[in-house]
Amino acid sequence: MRWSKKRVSILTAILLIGCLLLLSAADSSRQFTIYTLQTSYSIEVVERQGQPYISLMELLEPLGVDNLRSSGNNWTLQLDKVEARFTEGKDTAKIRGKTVDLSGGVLVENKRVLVPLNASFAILSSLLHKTIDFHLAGRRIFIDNAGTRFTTELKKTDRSALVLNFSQAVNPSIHQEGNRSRLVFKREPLISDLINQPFDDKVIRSLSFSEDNGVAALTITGDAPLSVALGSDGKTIQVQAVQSAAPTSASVPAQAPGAQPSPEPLVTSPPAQSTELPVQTQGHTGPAYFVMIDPSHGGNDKGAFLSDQLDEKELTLAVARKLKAELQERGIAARLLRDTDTNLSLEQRAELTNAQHPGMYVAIHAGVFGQEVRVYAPALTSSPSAGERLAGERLVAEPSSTGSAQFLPWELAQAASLGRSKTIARAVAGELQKKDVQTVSLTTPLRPLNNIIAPAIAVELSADRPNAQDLLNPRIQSLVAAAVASGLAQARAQIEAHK
Amino acid sequence: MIPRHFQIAIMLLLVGILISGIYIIKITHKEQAKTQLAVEERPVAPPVGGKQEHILVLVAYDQERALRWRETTAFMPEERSLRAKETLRAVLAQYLQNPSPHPLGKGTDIKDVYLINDNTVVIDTTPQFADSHPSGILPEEMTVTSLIETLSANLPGISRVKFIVDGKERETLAGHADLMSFYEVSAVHELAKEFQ
Repeated sequence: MRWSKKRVSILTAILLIGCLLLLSAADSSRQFTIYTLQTSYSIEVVERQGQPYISLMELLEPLGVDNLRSSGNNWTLQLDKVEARFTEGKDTAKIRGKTVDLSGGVLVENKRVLVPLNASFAILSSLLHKTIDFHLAGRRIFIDNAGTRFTTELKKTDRSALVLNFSQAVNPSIHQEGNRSRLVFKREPLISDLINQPFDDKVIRSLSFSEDNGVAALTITGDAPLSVALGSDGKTIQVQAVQSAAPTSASVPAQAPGAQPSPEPLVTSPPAQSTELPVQTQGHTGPAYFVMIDPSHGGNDKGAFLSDQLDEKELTLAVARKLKAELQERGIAARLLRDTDTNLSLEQRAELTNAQHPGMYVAIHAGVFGQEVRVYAPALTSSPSAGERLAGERLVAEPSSTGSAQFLPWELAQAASLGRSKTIARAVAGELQKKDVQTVSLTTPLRPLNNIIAPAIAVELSADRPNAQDLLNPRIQSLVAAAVASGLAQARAQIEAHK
Repeated sequence: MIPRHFQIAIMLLLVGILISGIYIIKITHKEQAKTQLAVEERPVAPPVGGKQEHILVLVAYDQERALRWRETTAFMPEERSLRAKETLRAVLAQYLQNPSPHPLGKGTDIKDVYLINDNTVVIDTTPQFADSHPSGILPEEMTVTSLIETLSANLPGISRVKFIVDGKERETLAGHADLMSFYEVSAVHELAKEFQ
């Protein structure tokens, strides 16, 4: 067989296309990143039984677990004399002798033990007994307060410059896309309460923080192409407009410390004639305001049966996504407690919410009886006796403005926020009524409202069973989401004014 | 003399009335049997002593989203925990009849009632009480409120109530109403007011 030039060219082209496809597949793989004070590592996320799973050993090996023993269906591991036992098919594990809910069954594939991604919080917190911060949507988890924070400083000179100061050295990869610069942090435990920070500047318009698929990213948007320079200590990044035309869409590697891609040397202090604008700081001073939206139920928990074609869990997620968009349109950051059809216990919902310190918590529900929207404020129907408080195992820490924390009984975590919760419920009900939505205000001992430290309410869309399909109508969902978002914005203003 | 065709018409009419009567009686018996069956499907409980009394029960009406006091009769023993149990069963009997203002699943019943220090009640229900309870904030809250309010009305001095299911603690009734905590009766009074 003779190899003509034509055949060689075709074969090369096929090989190239194959390589590109493989690369793109690799890029689109799902990953979960674990950050500790010493290291960070990413592991693969696979889809099993309709929810994300991770390998147990990939999660725990870098933390010091070196042996996973099997005995029949049981798998046992040890970390610092703490034993954990997992059983194939079971959705609980025994760690430190206590039962831990895994939100899904343990799977074993080729002697590889897989556990639900959502269980990583419960497994790590039970095994390590350290502070765990789980960013479910971004698939990132932080152990023992690992985290790099940053502050921003906009300097207005002839050429405005945005200076980012990091608490630890960073080395992001930088992607230029027209007038936007995107800094991607794959290994750094970058955290921020910032979602989007607009700037009153002609050149640098905004800075936004996002986290997705195990990485964090900062996106700086300008009115002109931007240059990014990393300071020699790795702790400072300066962004400013370039004077000459720059490539409009290119991905450039991170500049090594000392490299100066910008036309001017990197400056970390204001030039002599600069005018300094009010400094916008992100950091340890306190979390930025955001609303935690909880689409109730999910996974195996279908919630209320609304009709043959509709379960509560589907409707709550649809409405929650709309509410998030409506809040963001009003300039209020919002996070979803779940953005997929996943299992989350009521305890996990409360723990994840309390760990992130939201400004408000809104649980979305759906039910039957009456064409209306019901707005619920929490009802504290229990009050443990003094003896139970002393003997009670479950306490939740409520941070105070002084930096200290007081411990509250788990069932009464909501107590300090009850008044603000009622203010929010009133504002939301008022906005719904303004839009001619039939509204009922009630109180409820609904879980997990009373375990949430932040002001909390529940909103329930309701229809009579024969008309339950009406709740799927996007127009109705949008109307309710818009009214609830307006109510939340109004309540926030009222609460801030009261402060 | 009555004409022959007139006699035949009257005879046919009488036969028709007789057949209709038999049919109506049959239908009535069938409906009664159905209603009886719904009540009898509750687990068999040991016979209760005591005398028949008129008691007040707070009944949930789903369609009207309301709780209303109704008078009913029940055999009420002297002993307080048995009295509590019969009171609660009187409420459930309202929900297990057909048609029901607030349908609960077959097999729903009270297994036991434990009285602690004369002011705290722990209610142990059958698994069906929770497993087949309709899921939803409203139906679950109405069930809990109607049971606690009825208990409080008929057993003075009760201040705290907790539910367990088949001898074990359960997080929620059917995904919404809290079953982990002890309910303060005074707080439940406030909840009940919203439905009256």
